[in-house]
Amino acid sequence: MTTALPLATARQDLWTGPVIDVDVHANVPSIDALYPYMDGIWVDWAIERGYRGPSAAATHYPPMSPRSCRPEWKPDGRPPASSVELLQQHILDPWDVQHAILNCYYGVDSLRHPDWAAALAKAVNDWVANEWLARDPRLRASLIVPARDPAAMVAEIERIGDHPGFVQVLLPARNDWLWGMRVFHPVFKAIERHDLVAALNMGGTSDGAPSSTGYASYFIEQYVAEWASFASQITNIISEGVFNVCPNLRMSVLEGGFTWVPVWGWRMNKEWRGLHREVPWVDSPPLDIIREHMRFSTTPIDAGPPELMKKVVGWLGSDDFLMYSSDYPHGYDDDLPGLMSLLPESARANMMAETARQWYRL
Amino acid sequence: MLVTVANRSIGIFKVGGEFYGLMNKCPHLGGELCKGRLTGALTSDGPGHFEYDPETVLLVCPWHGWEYDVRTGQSYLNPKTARARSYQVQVENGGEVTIEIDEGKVGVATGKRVPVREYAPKPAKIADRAPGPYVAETVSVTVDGDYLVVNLDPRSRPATTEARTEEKA
Repeated sequence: MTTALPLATARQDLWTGPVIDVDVHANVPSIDALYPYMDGIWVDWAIERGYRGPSAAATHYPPMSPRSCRPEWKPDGRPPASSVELLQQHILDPWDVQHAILNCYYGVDSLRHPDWAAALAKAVNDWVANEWLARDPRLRASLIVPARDPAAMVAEIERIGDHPGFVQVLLPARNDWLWGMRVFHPVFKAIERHDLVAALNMGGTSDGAPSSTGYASYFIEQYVAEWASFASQITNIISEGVFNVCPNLRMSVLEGGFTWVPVWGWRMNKEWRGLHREVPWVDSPPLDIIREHMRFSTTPIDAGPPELMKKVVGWLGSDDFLMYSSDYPHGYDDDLPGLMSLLPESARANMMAETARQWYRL
Repeated sequence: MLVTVANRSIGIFKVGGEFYGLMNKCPHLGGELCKGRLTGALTSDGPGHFEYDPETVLLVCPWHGWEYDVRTGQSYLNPKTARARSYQVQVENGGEVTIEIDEGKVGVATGKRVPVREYAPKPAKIADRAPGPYVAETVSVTVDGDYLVVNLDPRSRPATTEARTEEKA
């Protein structure tokens, strides 16, 4: 199995059917780009303080790291993925993408100022709507929300959640409180009410150490262990009964990997049998709840040897589980042809487009 | 009350004025079932909602939490909602089961999946819970004056493995 970058693989050689890419990123080139979408007071606020933007994005995606952008996608003198033309040139056109879901993780979650965070989230969403969605009909997008203020999150969903281009709400995998807690149930109800998808995505700012036992020393630790943040969130979301409160809620897991899910699920199912009296509203085995309410982006694939990887893919227990993502412009070096070769024909079409088409009602 | 009769450990329970006996061995993995706690049935229609039914007395195995109706020995699984699935139970040799585990087919539903839009949760009572795969062995207990009579007569209770073997022989 050879590593295959999307640009090194001819689109038609890999897959002749339609492609829907569920995770492409937009980067705000600089805060000036958002000024047209802010009230004057916030423009003044930024200029007077010399504010250049939230710090969280650079923590998760160090600007010069090869993980943050593939070399061939680095534009001259501009941040990667900072305009719709770059996305068209690098992904939408060469990959003949029917639809792509645009995610702009700007790191608003790292702000403590409640009004500034809400204003910045609004500005980013309006920037995405005007500078991206309005300029390419293939695009749909996630809206971002000020993650420390549930009431403000609901207000932003109410404000722009019915825009036809927005299909999803981004919830960073790290947070002060786990997302399933009751304080966030109104947020999930708002997402469900607007027929949007909730997405756990890589990023976020936890109030304490992002791991359960302390701070990591190196980027590699944070990067490799990120799946644990996703697992903690999913464990919590199921245990707190979010899908009881919102029985029609769809949740995507973006950039969290998927090979860990079956093994985690076996443990969760086993413990649920013995401990379910504590959470009697969890009325199905947790892995069944995941298969019904969650879909996972393919990135990162985390593939081992093909004969073992084939078992892991079988353990997912569903042909309707994975959704293709390029994760543009991030550089995961995923072996998409390798994963494709392990799937039955029906699951290939689902992964490349059909699961996402149904999930996002495209 | 735990008693030993003819070298067998038997739990005797009084529920609603009636006496019931269970062998002190969980059919799951052999834990001392009758040392578990007794509890009422618990159901829920959402986070923070606990519907506790003290009339239905369940015995919880101290090893893995399997719950048994003291009166019948029947174990219970999750509530029977639209998502509940029946499991086919059959005896196969170990080699076949190993292949299923390797291929990840164990516990994977083969039926049609329920699309998320069609699903609606239903309030569940204990009567709606799916019977589990295990049934604890019951023992007849009767009252005779001041005595409780534990009846181990093979004609009055399900045959043990040894008894069945002997019958075949």
